[in-house]
Amino acid sequence: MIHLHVHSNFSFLDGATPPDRLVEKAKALEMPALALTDHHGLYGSVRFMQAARLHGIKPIIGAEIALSLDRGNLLAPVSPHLVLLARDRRGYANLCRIISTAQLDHQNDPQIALSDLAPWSEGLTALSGCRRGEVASHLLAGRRQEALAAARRYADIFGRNYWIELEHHLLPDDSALVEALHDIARSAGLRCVIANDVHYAEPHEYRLRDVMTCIQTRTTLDEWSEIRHANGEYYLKSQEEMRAAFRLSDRDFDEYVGATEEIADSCNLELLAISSRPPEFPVPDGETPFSYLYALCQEGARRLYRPLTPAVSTQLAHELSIIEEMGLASFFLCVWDIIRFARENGIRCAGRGSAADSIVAYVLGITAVDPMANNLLFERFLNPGRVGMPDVDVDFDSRRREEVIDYILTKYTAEHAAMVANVVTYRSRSAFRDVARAIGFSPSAIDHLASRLSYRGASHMKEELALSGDLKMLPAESSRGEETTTAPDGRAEALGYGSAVTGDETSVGAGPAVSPVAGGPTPEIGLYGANHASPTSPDVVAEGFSPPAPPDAGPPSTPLEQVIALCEQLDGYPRHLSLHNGGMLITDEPLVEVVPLELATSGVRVCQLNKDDVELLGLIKFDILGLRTLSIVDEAVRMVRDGRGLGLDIDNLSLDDPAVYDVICSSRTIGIFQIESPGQWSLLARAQPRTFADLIVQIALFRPGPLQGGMVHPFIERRQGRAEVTYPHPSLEACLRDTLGIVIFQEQVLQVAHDFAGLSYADADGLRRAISHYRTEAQMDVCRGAFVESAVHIGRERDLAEAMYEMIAYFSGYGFCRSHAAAFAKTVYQTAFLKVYYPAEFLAAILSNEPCCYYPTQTVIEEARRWGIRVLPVDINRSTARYTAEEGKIRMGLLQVKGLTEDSAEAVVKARGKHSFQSLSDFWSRTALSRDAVENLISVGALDSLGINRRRLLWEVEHVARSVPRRQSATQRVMFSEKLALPDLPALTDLEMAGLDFSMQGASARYSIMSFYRRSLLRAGLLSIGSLQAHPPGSTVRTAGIVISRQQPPTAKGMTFLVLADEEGELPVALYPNVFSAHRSVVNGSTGLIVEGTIQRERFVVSLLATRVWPLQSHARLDTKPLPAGSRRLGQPSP
Amino acid sequence: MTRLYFEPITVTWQDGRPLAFTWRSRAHRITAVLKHWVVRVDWWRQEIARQYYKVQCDNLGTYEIYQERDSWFLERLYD
Repeated sequence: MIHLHVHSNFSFLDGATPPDRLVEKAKALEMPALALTDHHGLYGSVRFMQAARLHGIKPIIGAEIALSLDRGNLLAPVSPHLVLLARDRRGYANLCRIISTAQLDHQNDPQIALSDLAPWSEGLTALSGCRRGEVASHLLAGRRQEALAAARRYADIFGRNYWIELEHHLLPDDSALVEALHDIARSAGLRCVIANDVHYAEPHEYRLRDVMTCIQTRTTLDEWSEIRHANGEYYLKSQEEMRAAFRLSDRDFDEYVGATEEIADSCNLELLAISSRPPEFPVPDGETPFSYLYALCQEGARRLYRPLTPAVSTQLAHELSIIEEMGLASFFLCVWDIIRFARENGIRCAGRGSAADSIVAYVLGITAVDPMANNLLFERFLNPGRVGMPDVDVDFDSRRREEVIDYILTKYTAEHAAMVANVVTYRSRSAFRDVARAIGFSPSAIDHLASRLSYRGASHMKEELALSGDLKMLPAESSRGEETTTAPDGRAEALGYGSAVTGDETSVGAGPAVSPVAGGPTPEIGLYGANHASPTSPDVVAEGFSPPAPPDAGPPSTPLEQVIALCEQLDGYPRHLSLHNGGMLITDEPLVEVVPLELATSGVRVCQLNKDDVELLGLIKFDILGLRTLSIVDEAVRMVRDGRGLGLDIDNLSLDDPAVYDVICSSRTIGIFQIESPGQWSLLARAQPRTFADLIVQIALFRPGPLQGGMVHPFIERRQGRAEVTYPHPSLEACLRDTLGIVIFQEQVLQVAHDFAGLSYADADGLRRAISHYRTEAQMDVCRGAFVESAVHIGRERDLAEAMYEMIAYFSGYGFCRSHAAAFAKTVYQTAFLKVYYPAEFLAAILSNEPCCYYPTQTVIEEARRWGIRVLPVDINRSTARYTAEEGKIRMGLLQVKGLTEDSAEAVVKARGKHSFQSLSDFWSRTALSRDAVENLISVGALDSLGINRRRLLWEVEHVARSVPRRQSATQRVMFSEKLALPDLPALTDLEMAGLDFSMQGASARYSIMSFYRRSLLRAGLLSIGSLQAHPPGSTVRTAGIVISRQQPPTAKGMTFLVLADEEGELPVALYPNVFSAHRSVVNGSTGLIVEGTIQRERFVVSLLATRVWPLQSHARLDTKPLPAGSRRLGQPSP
Repeated sequence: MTRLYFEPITVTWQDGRPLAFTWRSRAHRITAVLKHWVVRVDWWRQEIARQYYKVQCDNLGTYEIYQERDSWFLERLYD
């Protein structure tokens, strides 16, 4: 027997088992095939196919869809279900089309009319569905004629490929329904097949499914809903379990089993061979895609390589011939066209990913990194044996990325282009809230508990809740009692009062209305009391078959433990579909025949597959990503041009300016792309990159792969000449020479497999992918075997081969590719260059684009100040909407102030025109700002240039708002009578002004919070961050600062990393797990901290290993005047 | 009309079906099993997992009995 109606957890919040586990169960039951029929979707189909292939089972692709029936017919069931199975490629295309129509026409409630479905029935087998199928629902309502008519309608469309589905879940009326369906089939001349509407693999998973449906319907477990099941019989049953449930004659049952086999035999679809051609690019008359591509490449090569060398020309010819052989000329032209559009519209972009390995991509302008100069490997990008399409990621100026997406969607039309999906999965916090709500916890209890959870997986939940003492919560304390409701009738039916289900009797009992678990915990009829207390031990004499076994022990005890257990199961489960950020599919044939589409919440068309699935199906995916750094570079360059009249050729810098590397090596990298984090500070201090090639390595080094693999330390030792450069094997000298014998880049994995183990580039790439995708023991063993055997075959020692495999296996999933690092390195250099030579414009651009870099706005402002650049506060007569550079200083932008929008800020600038605002009433009348916005501006000193005390201005606003009319024209200046008797109000103190700055702006141009604590801290003997430099490593000190960053990287073995800041600098602080646990709530809950610890040092980079922590606010006092900051920045002489 | 009881009984079993039961010391021989269904709910409190049988007996009465864990009960009697 084969299961043909099966839901995985990709039937969102309805199925409880992932596709691969369903396959495993089918395999364990020795079933030769399995179907997957999720609701309106093929979300899990690729995963399903892969698992089926791995286990040697035939996969059958299908879906369960809802039909929209004629609303005029009141007797028609609402959205009846139908199961569709694809027999072949045409069936698959039709299935995609049907699902897409259902989804696109009805965004939140997918359905399709039978008449719309009919034209696309070729290649599809239809099953009449579960109780919600049209035929079954008519029968359940006693409408036999309508049921027969419906069956005939389907038979008209699908002919011999329409089957009546028989299911039996041991519900009171199932046997009657089966008989009625069988009768209909006979009358209509149709055949029957058995199925189980599987929603999970194992019986006990019915609990998880229960919870999922509660989440879906927003009910609690105590409330019944239509889609809940009254028992746990909807699992992937064996043939014998099915036989026992149906209790039919053997002859009949075997016939229906045979039907499943017949249907399975007729379905033969190889999904993973479905690929799609890239759209045929329209080329000028007389040209072919190849000839046009060739011409463009020649032109680009001549432009970029002066003079053109034989090496370049040979490589170009080599790549072009492979491109032609693989039929990818159109693909490259599509990408070239997208970049061309961006460039022509002034949208900054940078290509990366393995595409940067190719010279064709370089000369077409897709990437900005010269592969010849940087020793990049083309075969990483493209080789004839490579499975799947090439990988082209392009970063665009994030502010204008949408324009590029629109261009693509318009040019290729909705028929051929759509966004790629991203399946949002459950994480512990989201799972926790939903599950706790379903179990019946009150909202306040949920909030309290959820705040204890971090963003780590659900497996840590127990630990986190135990630590905070919440795990001991008993049912009485959980306030669940108040949430329970009396069970409505539906539940009563399920408990066996359910003869009412078939409508033949009413359950009028002698006793009180009984629902043994309604309302409070004490059941009314003594079910758990008297009867259980004194059972007359039943004599169940088993002769022959024994009665069904009692169910398993049941879930864990307290409600909270139940929630945790369920969350652990839900962790990683699909929750809903969302857009992948920038992935786009472009196809030659209509998209709806290749992959089903639906609408994202925003109304954008998205395909149902995620980026990995798309790749596995051989579809062309472009990544249109937004990078804020590109916006920053763009804005900085514009400011230099507009402010200084200088046109910077930022894309053609020489990449070797020592002054730029000086700054990088000094770790003063706040604001510089990729290398500004405190972790990078110490790495830079150790590695000291001085060339562009060094920079590429720097970016690739600070990644989980090399860090965990232990490559960083040896590399640095070798680089500094403190360790000898050795190679694991002479064959590896060529590919590891420039990284001093250490594997750092993904391409090197390929080269090791090729040079050392003798695999072809195609096989090497396949191995690399396999290692990075697969995680199970069995799969990794296969990969190990392939590598080791090939190496041994060409004469390498087995032990060495095993060791080499371990090295690359550990690394494969995580390492950076050199081309990607090279592309990034270019941007790193550009931003470093800007910081060195045009710091005011650069930092102003960063501040305008916040949040974007690692640090909050205030830190960037402090960095500017330490760099020697004054930051000027908002001024209604000087500021524009965004931050600007003003005579070598930075002027804060109006948008920094709360209450100002883009529109209102622009309006202020426009109203100001060439005539400054002279008074408050002048300002009021010429702009249309809200009163709140004006008050906020006054509070932060934006009107200080008027020369009037802020308190008086605030007082005056009241009056002005009431009596000064608004005028649009900037030339009409109203000089309101200054003879108002304004009271004499004291000026604001520095502390008050700083407070207003931070509350209205989140940052202050003038003040540093810590400078107000400084006197108090000095009196207590605490050091400022700047003065830590003078203390030797290993010494114990106490210092304090505002927490600007908190991290617990998963690769760091439980370490916690903070960054504290004061008016003199930033200090990285590390806490061992035990120290963190001891001070958890202080560390997590305080905005400022006092820490005691030992000094660590790496060149100029000082950090602290903390041993004790206190909250700042409760131990230090604020003064009304700040203590001026020391002139020495952390470790550096003033610039 | 039906009446609810929830009283314990003992059941004799053969060939995968209930054969007879004893209720209030009287034996009832089962002549037909009219329906069989399974209920499994309330797992989040104290799970109710029952096998129900609606049976006809030699006294022409119709009874609903169920098994929960190892015990059997008479739930209702149809008049």
